[in-house]
Amino acid sequence: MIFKDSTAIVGVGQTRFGKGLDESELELACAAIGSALDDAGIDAAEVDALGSYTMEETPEFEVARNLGLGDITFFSRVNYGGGAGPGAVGQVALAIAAGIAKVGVVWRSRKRADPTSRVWASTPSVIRDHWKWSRPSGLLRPVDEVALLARRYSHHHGDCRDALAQIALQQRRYANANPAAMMRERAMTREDYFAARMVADPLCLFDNCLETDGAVALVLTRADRASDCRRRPVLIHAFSQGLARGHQPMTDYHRTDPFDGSSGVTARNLWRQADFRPHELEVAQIYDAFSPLVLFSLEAYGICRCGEAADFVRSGGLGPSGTLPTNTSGGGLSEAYIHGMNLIAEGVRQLRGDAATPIPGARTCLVTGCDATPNGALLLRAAA
Amino acid sequence: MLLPATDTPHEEAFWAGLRDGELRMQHCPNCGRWQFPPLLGCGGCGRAIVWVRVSGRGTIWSVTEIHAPVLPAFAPLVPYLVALVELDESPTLRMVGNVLPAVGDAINSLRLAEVPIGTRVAASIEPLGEGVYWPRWRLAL
Repeated sequence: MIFKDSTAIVGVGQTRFGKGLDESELELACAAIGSALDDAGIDAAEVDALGSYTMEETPEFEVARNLGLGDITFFSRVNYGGGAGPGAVGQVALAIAAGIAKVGVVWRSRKRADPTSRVWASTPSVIRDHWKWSRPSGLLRPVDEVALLARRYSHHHGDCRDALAQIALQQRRYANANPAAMMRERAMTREDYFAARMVADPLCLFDNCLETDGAVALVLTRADRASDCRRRPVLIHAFSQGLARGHQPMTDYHRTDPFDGSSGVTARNLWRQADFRPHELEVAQIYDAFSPLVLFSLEAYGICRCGEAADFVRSGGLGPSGTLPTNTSGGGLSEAYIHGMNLIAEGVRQLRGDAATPIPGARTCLVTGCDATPNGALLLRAAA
Repeated sequence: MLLPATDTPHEEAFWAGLRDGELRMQHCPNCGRWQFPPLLGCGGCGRAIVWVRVSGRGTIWSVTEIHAPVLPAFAPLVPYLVALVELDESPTLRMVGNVLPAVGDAINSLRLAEVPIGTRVAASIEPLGEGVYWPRWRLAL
């Protein structure tokens, strides 16, 4: 297989994460990319590939000319919001592995802290896309769409609210140890969680990701070039995207089993490529715009059997000494919500040993995109 | 008020059915698949589909109670319930809608505890506005 371990992430960069940052999205993007290139020890003029999300609003040409990047020979965008991150990285990696490009940058920059910038808040009065089937009934926000699945999950497997609380609390503890996290100074207790206002029952405020201004960028190159870089390279071991047969984004309600969806497609193709198995993972970064997505993903990616994710979480499985330390920077719930790009950056830091909460001996990491949309995932591995 | 666009040719039988007080769904005579939302052909085998009137009876597959903040059109109604109803004909026929005690009631008339998963419901086709109709779900005896 030409792809496996042939490319590496050699640099990560990010801006500060916050609300109401002064910089524009372009300034944030360029700051994060510049920092990632410095981290890698690669000159801007060497960059010849760019990848991002279709929802990214900073165009390639502005990023390229404002940073002094070289001639670009490959650029791609991946659709479906929070499902896109691993795909954006994977497509640039494919271009590098195939010899189309040599040095790639993947970035995401967004200013979402202003409530008026929320995507659902701009729903048109006449809806033409697939949200026409749900939003006119008042199922308006992504959290509402996930809440229907969370309640059904509880119906099958028992009330999962205490497991959702455990996810939120564990990620907050990781964030409390992370100087970059928006919630670094905000402790959360179990009482805080259960006292929080309900948003879409059974999901309360703390089941929702943060709204963040900030940017994250990664630098990729060939594995054989990576050994010359400043940092220990992190290999891209496997990559897949997934769009299940009959899938409908966020409201994937119309297939026989909505819990066997696009993550399952991604997972099967990912593990087909891999030299290690789910139980051999040492750390994971699981897309967490809403806490139930962590439960659903733990099962879809084969870390837990169907219906067992809540027990896995309740037993401390996601903590630093648990079976699979997960979202170790605090994730979208408590570090920052940069559409999952900060999860990928954290996966890289874990495998090269410079994470805020380093997991001892971590050599392999799963990074996933949004369970509820067409998505993707990466398996990362520390270089020998 | 949020309305679905209804000027889509391959959905015409669906919207016209609702205007006539009927719930119609796509069925594939080749592979037997029922499907919603409407597609250009069968999502299972790709062949042509036919439209069939369905019973309008179903079961609450899931339900949530929506709290603020929401869009202005729904803000006066919080908290209100939104359900996913599975029609008796097939698990692939699930529709998002509101659950009401009786025809004509407001969408915030019931509390979550009154509508557990598994509750039997029946369609009541009601106007959404501007000539567009949509099933609301009343508790079935």
